[in-house]
Amino acid sequence: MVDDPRSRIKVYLDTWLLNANLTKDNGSTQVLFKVMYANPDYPLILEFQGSNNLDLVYCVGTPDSTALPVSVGYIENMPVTIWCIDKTGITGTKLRWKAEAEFRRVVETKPTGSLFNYERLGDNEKNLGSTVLYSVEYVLRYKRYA
Amino acid sequence: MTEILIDSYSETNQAGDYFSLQSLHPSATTALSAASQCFLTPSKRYGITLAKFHLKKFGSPTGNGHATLYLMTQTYGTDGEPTGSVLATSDAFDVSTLTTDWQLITFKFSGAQRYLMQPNTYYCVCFENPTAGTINVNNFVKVGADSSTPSHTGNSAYFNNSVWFGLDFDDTIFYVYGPFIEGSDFTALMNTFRSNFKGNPSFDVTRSALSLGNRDGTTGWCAKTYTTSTIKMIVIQKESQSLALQMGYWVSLDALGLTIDPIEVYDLVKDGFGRTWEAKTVKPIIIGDTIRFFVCDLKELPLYG
Repeated sequence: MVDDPRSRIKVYLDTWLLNANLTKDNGSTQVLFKVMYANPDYPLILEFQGSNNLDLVYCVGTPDSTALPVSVGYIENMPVTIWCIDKTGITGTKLRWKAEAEFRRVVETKPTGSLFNYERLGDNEKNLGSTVLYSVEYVLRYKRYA
Repeated sequence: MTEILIDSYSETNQAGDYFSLQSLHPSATTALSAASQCFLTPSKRYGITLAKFHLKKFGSPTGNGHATLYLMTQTYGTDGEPTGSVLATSDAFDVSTLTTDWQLITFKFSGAQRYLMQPNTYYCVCFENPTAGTINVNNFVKVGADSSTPSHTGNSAYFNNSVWFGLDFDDTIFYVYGPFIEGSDFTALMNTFRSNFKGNPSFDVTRSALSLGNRDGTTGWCAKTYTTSTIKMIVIQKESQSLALQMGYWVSLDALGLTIDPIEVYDLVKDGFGRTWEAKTVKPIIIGDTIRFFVCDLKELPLYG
């Protein structure tokens, strides 16, 4: 059975993202972050509140795949979205950029069997009333051999 | 919810004095098992929501302590002491988590324990030792107090030999907080308000508060958990309509909910008619400084069991 491509990317990011590079505004206190599949069946904002109290989330979306000739493999475009909010000691836009920089570092320095390319689709800020949810979406493009 | 300080006696007054509570509560021996402080409520009605005491531990006590509220008997400021049945009990506090340094420990009164106190009335707020666990002369809780120059208008009391005993030369360090409601009982007020709407809107509803549980290792998602409680809410059903929040985002509004009880966005509300609603927006409303309540936009979940 072929691996779920979301799982492959989640494991890849879990393995290589360095918490030491993901810090609060003071540059030393590490933030709490998780890598998860996109579109959970609950509001994402809950991840930033209550007992979870995350500061940063990388969401791995659903890819679209283009099949290469038989038995060769696939070219996949995998959306990865970075989410964060303003918190005490955290400016959302600053943390978003740190998260982007760390994501770029991983993609550029840790190829695993295929050269990764990425495309930055742009910022997206959602005003939830009392909270602004900052996000930026990337699309990872890579070749996966069968 | 904004908490309003009702009365306090600051820890800055503590001159090294304290009560050593060396027995499980209630103590039938000479060892103490609880300490209290009496206070006078202002001319407005307050519902108690938080209490704080200045605590530290000696040795390794274990068990769950509580803050409690009682009416006062005897003379305020001289030998005032708790009397009658407990009016409100806070959530449990694990005394083993205390440190050997003095700390202000917050006790939360939840749900129906947020007792609505009468104005201009004497009450006693108490710290009570655990009823089970390890409490003895080598492992106990210390409650901060002031016997050097006690300046609070009330007085402290302690519990031993199965009775409370008021002290006129001592004040316990304490804080009591709560939102306040002026005038008549809020339930009566809401009932009057409710009667002005057609269709007999519901009042007692089941609130299912959404929180996140364990995280799945594969997806990274958390399990959804709901904690149910009964709250009072006026649900006014109306014809379904939609409100544009911003480009591409709409909220369908099937009903309006009015409540003074805590509620969060995404909570589920089930009314007495079997209908289930999801709170899409929650907006706090403050009228002057007297009444605070929440207005919720509710969306009906028609297929929800």
